[in-house]
Amino acid sequence: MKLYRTLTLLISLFIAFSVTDAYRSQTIAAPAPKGTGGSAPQGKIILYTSVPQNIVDRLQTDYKAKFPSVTLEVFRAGSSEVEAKMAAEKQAGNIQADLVWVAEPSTYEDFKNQGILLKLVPTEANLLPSEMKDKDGYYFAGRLINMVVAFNIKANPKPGAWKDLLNPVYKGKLGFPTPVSSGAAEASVRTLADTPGFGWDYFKQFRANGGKQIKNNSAVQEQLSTGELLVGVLLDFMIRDAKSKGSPVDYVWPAEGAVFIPSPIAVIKTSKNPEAAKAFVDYLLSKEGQNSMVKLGNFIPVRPDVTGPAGTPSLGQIKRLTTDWRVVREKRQDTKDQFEAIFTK
Amino acid sequence: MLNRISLAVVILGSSVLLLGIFVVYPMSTMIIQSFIYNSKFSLQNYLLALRQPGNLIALRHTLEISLGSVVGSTILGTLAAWIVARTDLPGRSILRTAFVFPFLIPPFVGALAWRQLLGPVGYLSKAYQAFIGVDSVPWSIYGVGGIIFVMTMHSYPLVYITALGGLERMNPELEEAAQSSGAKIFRVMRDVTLPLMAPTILAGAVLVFTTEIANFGIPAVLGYSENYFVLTTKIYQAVAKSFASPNALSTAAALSMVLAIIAAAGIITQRLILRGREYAVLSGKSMQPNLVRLGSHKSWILPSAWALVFIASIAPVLSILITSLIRAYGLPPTLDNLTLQNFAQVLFMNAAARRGIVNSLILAATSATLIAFLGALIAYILVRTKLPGRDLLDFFAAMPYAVPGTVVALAMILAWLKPLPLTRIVLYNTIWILLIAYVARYLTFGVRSTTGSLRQIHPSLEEAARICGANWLQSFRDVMLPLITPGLFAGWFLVFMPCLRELTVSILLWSAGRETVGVMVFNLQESGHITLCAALAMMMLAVLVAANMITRRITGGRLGY
Repeated sequence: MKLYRTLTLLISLFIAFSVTDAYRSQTIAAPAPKGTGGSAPQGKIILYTSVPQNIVDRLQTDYKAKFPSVTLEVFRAGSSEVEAKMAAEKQAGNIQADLVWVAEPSTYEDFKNQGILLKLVPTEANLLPSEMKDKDGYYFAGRLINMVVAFNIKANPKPGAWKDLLNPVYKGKLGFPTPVSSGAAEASVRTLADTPGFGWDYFKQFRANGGKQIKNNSAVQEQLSTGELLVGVLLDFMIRDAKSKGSPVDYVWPAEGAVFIPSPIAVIKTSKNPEAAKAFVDYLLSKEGQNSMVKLGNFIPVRPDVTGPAGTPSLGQIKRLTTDWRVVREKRQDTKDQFEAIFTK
Repeated sequence: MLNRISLAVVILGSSVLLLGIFVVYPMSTMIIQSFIYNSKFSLQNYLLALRQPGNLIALRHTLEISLGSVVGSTILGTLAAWIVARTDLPGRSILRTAFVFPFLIPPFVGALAWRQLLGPVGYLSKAYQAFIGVDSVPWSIYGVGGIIFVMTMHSYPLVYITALGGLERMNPELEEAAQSSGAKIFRVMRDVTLPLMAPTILAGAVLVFTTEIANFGIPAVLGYSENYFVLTTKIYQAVAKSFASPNALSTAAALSMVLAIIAAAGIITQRLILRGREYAVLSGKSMQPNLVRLGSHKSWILPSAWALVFIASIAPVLSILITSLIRAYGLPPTLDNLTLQNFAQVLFMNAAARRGIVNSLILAATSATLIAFLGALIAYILVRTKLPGRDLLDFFAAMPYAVPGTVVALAMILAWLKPLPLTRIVLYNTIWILLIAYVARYLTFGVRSTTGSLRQIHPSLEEAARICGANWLQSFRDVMLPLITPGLFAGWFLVFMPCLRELTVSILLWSAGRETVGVMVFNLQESGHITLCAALAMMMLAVLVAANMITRRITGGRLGY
């Protein structure tokens, strides 16, 4: 008897399961895309992104209000997970995403290199500064992120430059997100290594000063908040976000210049609904879209005609180091090897 | 006679078929992937992987932390199970639940909690410094020691649960005989109980071993700052830049195969230890085991048991709770800084998190039930039949658990992205792919926990049923099933709990509308919202505890802890 009871349980679970799934599919099912030029976009598009959850949630709502006949589905994960998922999908057949929006341009150079991106001309592309778009027209910055020097308010004196990470007063309480899995960190390491006056020596000295590699940006943010780290390298929007919520942290635009990272969005070549996908890119690059990014995510807008978060410099005022995204891509293995050699010896 | 054989063949055959679909097929895509280098079949991925000194160091680290935590977990888990099942210690029913608790906490959340407790500015570290009057602590939560400690705290319940199942249905006559011949309780435990329990304890130990070689969350949180990398962190690094090299997936697959082989070595070691010994301690007679009277030993066993509960269960949960209540991370936990805002935000503003909780509950219950049945049948094949190639079955059942969840997810994508043969049905981006992946991932729990119990059942019982004219199904249902039920139940819960908080497999397989709660917890942390992450993690823990209590109530205490 017990066996039958268990079997009944199993079957009911199974039914519950199918019903839930059917329900879910129904709520998000939408008619097949037409995609004829001129008519309003419709159908379904899928976005793969590493942009924080609350921001994508809001963009999703806003986009829905503007394009009620388009269903936008979002898969949000870390940049690494997004990239791994896309690679497996490509290997197995087709990338399922219509749009991809992850950390930094060198990854998009990889994407371009492997021929998975669609060339496009967003409506307001002309309003973007040239550094915010791929010269071949494959990707466009949907947000701007910067690697800056962040600190716990207990840090005394306050740091003001990259070189301050070598100051012995912070000894042992310094963190740099590891470049082996974070794209923004990889770009920063490469940029500093290639900047005159820094080079790999900078990292050797950082290590000698008790500097640590940290799992990712959010871990640096947490450890700065608790005071476990006094000074760390972090993305500007994350530290602004923590500060605005009340965590005892702050940041400076390093005197030598920040690492300036346009964080691109692109349409996937195999997209079955490129019209709707392009409409999303247009929306994101529009004044309205960028205003949302400022309000929700504390991001500095990618276009000069939108005002940034309080207390941030305008686009033209940001002092930056030179990052060559092709070099970041080409020297990827070297960056990893050199960094590993410095930190594990 | 024909009927008897064909039934067995049909039922056991279909379980092998299911294993083939759920596990062997997707895992094979990964094995094949590990041999593809620049689109050609080659051993190059393995050669390159082994030629990198960093990988060899990572391999050593993996063995170091997994063996370290196996030793710790086995000792703690066995003692805890013995106290709960076989002694008259007061408050055992509370301890019974409390000992399982750490297993409910997702590893990466546990690691974050321990960093908050024992890290350089952790609550306990600060308390210690204030108490002793120094400004440093004589320990480090980072690196090998910290990782082994957190892993042990996290995984001793695996040994505890499997050993508890075995102890509770052990024939107490042998113990009683020893005790009445004048042996002291610890002598009885050492010379009688422990040797008899060896199969179930070892089954738990092997589970811990496979869990920890494949663990990513703990070494990721606690390893980087000490430059302490293990194979799973290396695999993650390989897939993190999947488009940078045409062989990124292959490299990850090859490194994962190394882990699978290590896991197989663990299982073989277990076999060798148990080989040629008799463990059939169940003979079918009814029994009401007498409890071991602890007497004066209570005075130190009782506080030690509660110390374990406090350290492993209460302290990390309190630390997560504080984070979930704090207005902004990094502020001191004073009254002014406490708020329920984080809970409100997660609960009311995040529809995906709510959906995630429901989805995870359904997925966990379904996977656990499927695995209980499938695992029992496969365990039966392994223990009671002479099917050729059954060791390979065992290997495949264990493999998805021995490699990082991310790799299982990648294998599932490779296997199920295309429509099923001859149909237009696509499993990918449905909840079914999560179910299949969970069943594959945790099948080994069902197999392990039931093989342990099956080994303890003497074949004579089944033979007796057959002689009396029962067919295979009848004897399995009426004789074997009731005897292995405690093992099945233990297995059910062993699957249910980690599925409910599953992260590493789901993270690549969820899709809009099919979120899981573990993924939502991780996404909040990864987005830099640690307080919200803690609030959702607390809610997930509440769901897990509630699920446990409800299950316990419904089943009259036979299921759940």
